[in-house]
Amino acid sequence: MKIGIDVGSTAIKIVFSADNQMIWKKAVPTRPEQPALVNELIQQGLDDCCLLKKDIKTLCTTGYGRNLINGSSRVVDEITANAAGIHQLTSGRARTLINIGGQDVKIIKLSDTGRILDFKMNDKCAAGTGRFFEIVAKILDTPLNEFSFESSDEPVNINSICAVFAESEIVSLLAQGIDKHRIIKGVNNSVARRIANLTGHADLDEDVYVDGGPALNQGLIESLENELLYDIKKVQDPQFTVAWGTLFC
Amino acid sequence: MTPNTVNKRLQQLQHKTKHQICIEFEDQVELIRQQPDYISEIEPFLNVLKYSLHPCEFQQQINSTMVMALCIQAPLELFHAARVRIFKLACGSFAARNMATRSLPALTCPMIKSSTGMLQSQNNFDLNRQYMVFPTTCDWVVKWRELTGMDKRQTHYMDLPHLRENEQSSNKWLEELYSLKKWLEAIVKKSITRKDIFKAIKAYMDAFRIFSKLIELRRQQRISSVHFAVITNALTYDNIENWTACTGRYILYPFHEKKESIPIFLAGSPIIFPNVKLLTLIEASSMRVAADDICSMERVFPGPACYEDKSEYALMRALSHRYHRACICPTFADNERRLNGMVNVLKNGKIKGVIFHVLKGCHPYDIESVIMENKLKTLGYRFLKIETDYVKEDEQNIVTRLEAFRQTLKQIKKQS
Amino acid sequence: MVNRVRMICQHISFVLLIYGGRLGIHLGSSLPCFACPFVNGCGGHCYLMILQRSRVGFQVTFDYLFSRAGLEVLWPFVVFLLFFVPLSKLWCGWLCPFCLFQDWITMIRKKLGIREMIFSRKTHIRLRPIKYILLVLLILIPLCIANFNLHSDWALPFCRICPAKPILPMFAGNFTHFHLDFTNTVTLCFTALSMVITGGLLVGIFFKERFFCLFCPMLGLMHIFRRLSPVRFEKDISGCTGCGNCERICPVDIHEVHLENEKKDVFMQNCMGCMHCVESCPGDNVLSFKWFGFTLFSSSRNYLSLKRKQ
Repeated sequence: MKIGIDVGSTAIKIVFSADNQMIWKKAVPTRPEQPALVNELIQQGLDDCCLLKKDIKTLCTTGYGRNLINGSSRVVDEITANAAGIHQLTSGRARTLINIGGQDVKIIKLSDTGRILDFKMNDKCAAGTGRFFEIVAKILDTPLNEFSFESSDEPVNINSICAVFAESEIVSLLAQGIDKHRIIKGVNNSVARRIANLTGHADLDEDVYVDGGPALNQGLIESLENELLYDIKKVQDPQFTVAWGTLFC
Repeated sequence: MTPNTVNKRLQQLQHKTKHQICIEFEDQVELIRQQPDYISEIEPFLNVLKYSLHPCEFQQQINSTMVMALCIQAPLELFHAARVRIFKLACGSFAARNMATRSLPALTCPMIKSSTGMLQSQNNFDLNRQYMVFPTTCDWVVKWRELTGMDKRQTHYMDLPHLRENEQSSNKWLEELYSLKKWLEAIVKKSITRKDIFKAIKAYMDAFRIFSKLIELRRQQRISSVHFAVITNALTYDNIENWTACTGRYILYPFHEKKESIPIFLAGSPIIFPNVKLLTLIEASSMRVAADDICSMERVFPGPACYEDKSEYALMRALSHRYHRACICPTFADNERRLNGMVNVLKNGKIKGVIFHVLKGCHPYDIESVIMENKLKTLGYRFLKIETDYVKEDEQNIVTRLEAFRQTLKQIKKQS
Repeated sequence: MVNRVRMICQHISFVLLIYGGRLGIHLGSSLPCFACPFVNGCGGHCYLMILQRSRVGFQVTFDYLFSRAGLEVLWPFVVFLLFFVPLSKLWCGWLCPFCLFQDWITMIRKKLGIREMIFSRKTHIRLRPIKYILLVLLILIPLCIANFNLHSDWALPFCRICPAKPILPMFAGNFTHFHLDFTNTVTLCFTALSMVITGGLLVGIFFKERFFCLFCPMLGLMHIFRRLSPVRFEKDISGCTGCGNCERICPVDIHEVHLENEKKDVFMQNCMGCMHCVESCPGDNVLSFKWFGFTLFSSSRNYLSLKRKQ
């Protein structure tokens, strides 16, 4: 039995694998004292699967907090782990991967053998990341899972690039009495635009996959498709590709 | 506020900044000393660099005139021939920025910010009485004097032609060199003879020979990237004879090859001590800078000076070409051949990856990075652009990228 | 290093070609360098003289030239090629006695610390055709003598104005070529012109390295046939960083080597294979002289940084 842990900036993701099958997974928000939290999660998983500590063959970690976890048998960076994960999950079909993380966005080009050909990553700015959605969700008082919906409303334009300024822009939109759905659509578009900018609107190799927590938001994916003009696919558990990938590095 | 309180506050700010600069420097030095590859031969260079943050102390310590200069186009040999000591106006201190934010735009190049702050943090230091040389390279350098409110009396501009391959520009730059010579002669109140210039060229040629050996060691991945930066940074503050002697001693140490680390080529904006963050992170990611074309590192020497004969004109012409045609500054319009030199080194050193360092606000290198990226990628090299400044908060983000970059390089190695 | 070897070659060749005859050495009369036939007891002759002479050169009637006997004209040329092919223009920079004489004068100038005169790129380009004009004249004038009744005092037109003719015999103790010949207008004109040219060139050579080579018809002639020789001067354009050392160091200020960024072949018209540029090029294997693909000498960073060691 193998365990893959992704200690991310906003959430800790943990997966259990037996015979290359995901047998248990869990994602919890990050909080201080990560090592204790991780141990707690592992114990919880072992209990759920009726396993013992000695059954753990390998423990792989990645993510911003990867070096904080003790007893890890393999530590890899998120980009390599992510590439390995998506390559395994899509059986090598993915050529371009857009990972929308808690505080960064990565665009990874893969070869048919799963090698990383090139990658891009935004630097210290929350614009276009999961963090941005969290801020918006808080202002709109709408849970993130309600960000995708069917509606024919015209989206509003959100111009601010900075997450902090966007916050005040949204507050003023609300004050004008603009419908929440229009704002959410606007936010999705604005994030998609920023991600598209990071790709440089260059030619991407298909298939294009997207993963990371915000990939659960179907509305964002639609906006991204409009922006990039590519069919965008996603895997079943987009949040767990990185943790899963650590097991295949 | 009364002028008195303003003055008092300024003094406090100066004191505080200076203190922070010292702490930052000491921390960095301590970090170097704790590294397993530390050898005591690096100490003289660190000592020189200590003065690089305090022009006042620098001036007291030397017994000749101090001339401050920005960029690498003003020939070091001429300063040596005039027997003045050059103080390179390039500062890598994060703490020094505090002072400068008062007078500069927010998106200023960090090096300019930091250098300004470093000068302003000096107590009893009249900027208007300092001799300064500015080659007109990038816009920051061109406008710097005005930004900092200095007057023109003691500054000398060298109008750098941004074309290098045509004859007029070459002749123009030669004229600029002659006018620099004249300016220096006026400062020291005696003429610079051809023998002075020849001796200076010789001194720098001796240094270049030692430097070539140092580079050789570096290509074999025997020297720590940080050490190399320290040595090359020290060149523009040290007496050249002393520098040559110290470097000569340094290369005698029996270095071991670091086999497990992957060689990379570093390009882009200057890396100036004590801001060696990127180098430290690269080493921490099990990579090693085996070559670079950074103007504060390997390119402080643009190459050996070749003169036709020992007449003053021939020597000046050799210098002018060396500091103009052989220069790789991204502000030049015809800079395509810069890539040639780079690819040569990549090929010979079997280096597969290029890391391009861009200081936020350093526009010429930002522009150049796009050009380089396209060209290098078509040639099959891996390219990673790291845009950063002097702050330390983005280290985690950079490390992630560096580690992933290392993985891609490792895959290439495995394949071949 | 290479420069020293070159100088030794030049000196040996000088002794051989100026004094060789006295030692019983004679390399024939079709040498591709300025081994002046007017030197008493020389060790070989310059091909340009043969080219202008009757029977073996172009001073023959058209009937003769285009008959089977015309092969006689061809024979010295074949010998010339046999000499030329293995070494190409390296004859100039490594073996020509007149080139060495110019180098001596340059050495004196350098010792005195007097700067060299620098021509602009444009001037150099404008001067280039002169050597071909001279070459055409030195073939046409003899043909005119034989066919169009031009006075026979026009014979050997180039030799008459060649600066090597008065200068090189001096080394064999013969100063008689410094004179004016008052026999008739033609001779007077030729000798006067010769004195003016020699005087002018001597001044030129003093201020400009290898000044005469800029006009040398032999260099032009060899340049035409450079493809027949296995000697190649190549530039690896992908390695050139454009430092400009080659242009500055070049005795005849060839700028094309520095600017070239397409072709491999950079054996320019005025290049005489002295290899100064190769010595001063900081790029590894960027400039190289090749002989049948075998590298004779190529540039390297190491060579350059060690070169100036005192």
